[in-house]
Amino acid sequence: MNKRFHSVKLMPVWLAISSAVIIAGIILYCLFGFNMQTEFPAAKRFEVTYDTVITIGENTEEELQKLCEDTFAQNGLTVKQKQKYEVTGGGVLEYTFEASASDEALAKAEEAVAAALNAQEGIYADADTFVTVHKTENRAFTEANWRGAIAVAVGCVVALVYLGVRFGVVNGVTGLIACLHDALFTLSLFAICRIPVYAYAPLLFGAIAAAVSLILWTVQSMKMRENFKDPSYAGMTVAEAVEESSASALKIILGIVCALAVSFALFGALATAGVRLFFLPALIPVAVGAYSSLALAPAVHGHMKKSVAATAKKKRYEGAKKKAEEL
Amino acid sequence: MGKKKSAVFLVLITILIAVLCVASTVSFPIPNSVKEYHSFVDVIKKDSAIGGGYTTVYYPEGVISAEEFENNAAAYGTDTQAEQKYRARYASHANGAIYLEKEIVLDEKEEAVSEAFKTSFANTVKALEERFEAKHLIGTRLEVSDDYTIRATLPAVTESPSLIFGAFAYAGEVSVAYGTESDKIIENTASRSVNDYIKGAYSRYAQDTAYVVVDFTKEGRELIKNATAGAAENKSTLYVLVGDNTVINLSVSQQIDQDSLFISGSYTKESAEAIAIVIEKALHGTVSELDLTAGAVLTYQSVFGENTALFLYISFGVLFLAMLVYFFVRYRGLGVAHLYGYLTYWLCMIMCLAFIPFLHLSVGTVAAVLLTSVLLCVSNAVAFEYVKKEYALGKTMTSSVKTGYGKCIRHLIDLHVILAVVAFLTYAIALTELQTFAFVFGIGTVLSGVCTLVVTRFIWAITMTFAKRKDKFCNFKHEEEDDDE
Repeated sequence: MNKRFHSVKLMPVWLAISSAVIIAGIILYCLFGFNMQTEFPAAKRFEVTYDTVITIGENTEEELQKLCEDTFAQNGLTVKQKQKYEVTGGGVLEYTFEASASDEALAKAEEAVAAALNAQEGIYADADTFVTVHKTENRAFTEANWRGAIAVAVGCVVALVYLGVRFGVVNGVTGLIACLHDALFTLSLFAICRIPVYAYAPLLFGAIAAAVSLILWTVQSMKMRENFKDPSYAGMTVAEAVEESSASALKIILGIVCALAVSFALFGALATAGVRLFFLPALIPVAVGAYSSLALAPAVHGHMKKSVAATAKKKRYEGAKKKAEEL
Repeated sequence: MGKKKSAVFLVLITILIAVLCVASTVSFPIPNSVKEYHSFVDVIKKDSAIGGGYTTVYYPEGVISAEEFENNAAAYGTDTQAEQKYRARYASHANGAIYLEKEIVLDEKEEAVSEAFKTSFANTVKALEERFEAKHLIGTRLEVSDDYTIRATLPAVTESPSLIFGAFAYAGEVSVAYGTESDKIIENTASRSVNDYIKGAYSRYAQDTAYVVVDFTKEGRELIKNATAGAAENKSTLYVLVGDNTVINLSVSQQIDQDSLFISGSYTKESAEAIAIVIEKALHGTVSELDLTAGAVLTYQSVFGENTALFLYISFGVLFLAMLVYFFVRYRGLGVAHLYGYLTYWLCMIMCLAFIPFLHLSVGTVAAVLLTSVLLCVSNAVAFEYVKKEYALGKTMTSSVKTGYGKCIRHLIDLHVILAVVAFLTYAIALTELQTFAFVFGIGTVLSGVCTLVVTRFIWAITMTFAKRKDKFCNFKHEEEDDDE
């Protein structure tokens, strides 16, 4: 019992950590938004359009790619994404660069690649090709974002009602606080750490955080309902009982967190780079869920339960006093 | 259950699962036929990041690509004077990436792009944004390229991208004509707006037929009724136009007197939806002011790389093996019950992804599947642990299973119900990626509950009949045995 983790006692620490991270996150989000470099909000694109002479030629497309990439290297340009398009009668090879890529270097590369392609001899001699550089600016769709935020919030409230009915109002309110906290905390970490994300990812990470939080807090609530019936809990204070119950749920909570973390880490490690950009950051909502269900939520729950118990005691006392006066 | 009965059940279930596993994962050519059988995994649609998509560039009137400009100039051949005249008509823009027709795009001094063109272009971009966003398709993207062209991308799940790119390019206001396209009966005038006559438009799909539905106001209904009064005698056509483009032409052979006009015909689900969006957004959204020409439709493969889906499946395979090792080491024979439960979950999940039309493979879907997989594994482990605890108290295996499941069933049902309710509610409100994630999460949660409480328990009961030492089969021990040891 001495080794119990005093999460309730440490409530001010959790509150300080959470509020600091969330406030910093909100400020940084308002100032800079999320780091959506992976979506290329603004970019420069180097395009080579070609006909079937290149598509059917032996290794001609590969040679063309090599030519472009060598030229970029010579001009100090770093390719952010390569994409090949098919079109009736040919294809398009597209290289994406950051918006800050030098116009001069790109113009030089355009000139060099065009000159190589238009040479009278060589593998491109009979090919019809065209080289251009475009600058693009993404237009973000916003409806999905606000609808998603409402959906997560409504989901959390419904979870509160269910938890409230099944495990008591205090558990329900704690669950709601935990869900919303985890979603906000996760998004704040993404805003603070400037972790690159896809446009749709923040919403998904928020939803994953809320889902993990809901699973873990439901487990805590179940354990509490089961444990509080145990006679050994009768002599404990509210804080001690919550901490003891939380300790007994530790194994299963760590089990869930580890299973999720291993799954996401494995997908991050094995899958392609694009998938990795989603699954490795997805470890953050899992970690946040673990933090809130083991530290913050039990503390909030302990304090709320304590104040509810104190209010009930006061009411009972006042009721008894009134009755005595009446008599 | 007797041994024979259990054996029959186990064999039947094993055969069913094995057949479904093959059907789900193995594609093969059908013997003596040119056809090929596609596994369930093969028919799962993929989002643009994994499965690719289509892209095109919209050029407003007066804007052409550098390639088109050079090709047009080259077409003059030896007529250098005509070529020079042609070249003089245009001004290069964005380092020569596009060419702007001076007369249409530039201001009077021909020095800069006119303010009127800039405003019209901004409105056109907004109109396109509204139209593409209304598709609610993951992987849809819109970019302004070189200041005055628009690049649009649709995911590979789109069946007729050219049609959508074409329809969304229509500029202008909605009008309705009867008889010929120029005999307008509903159009914007100085005193009345089209919205006074038409409430809106949407699409419906029922019994393999797609409809565009146009809702009229009382006034609109009256107007259409009067216009089509003689239709029984003289058949005619009712046109709905967006700008100069006819988006609906309906043969009328009797008087129309309806609040809503359900128009079917040659529409597919996608084309009906696109037409409805164009009409609806032209009525209640930003009106696209510039005539747009969609360039060639380019097809691209996965943004994440060619073998993204394969690597995802490999990752699932590795996780599956790791999970099996854990369960077989910790619970020995009981791992079989978990395996059957898990395979049932997986097969149902694959079939849902393959056959529910709006589901597809994306990172969000994979995350939802992973979360619910973990939920299933944890639920099974919790149930096993409860039974293990009961058995440790000295009860018989049958009694332990009954009491153990009895004690944890309420917890597991609570957990699954709350997650499923929240997931389906989120699905109902959210859009695109989160909507798909929530739906898959909801289905996965329901499947996890069923597999834990029904399938795993049933298989456990069957397999147990073959075990001589039930405790060793499950790796369970009585407390006294522990103490002795």
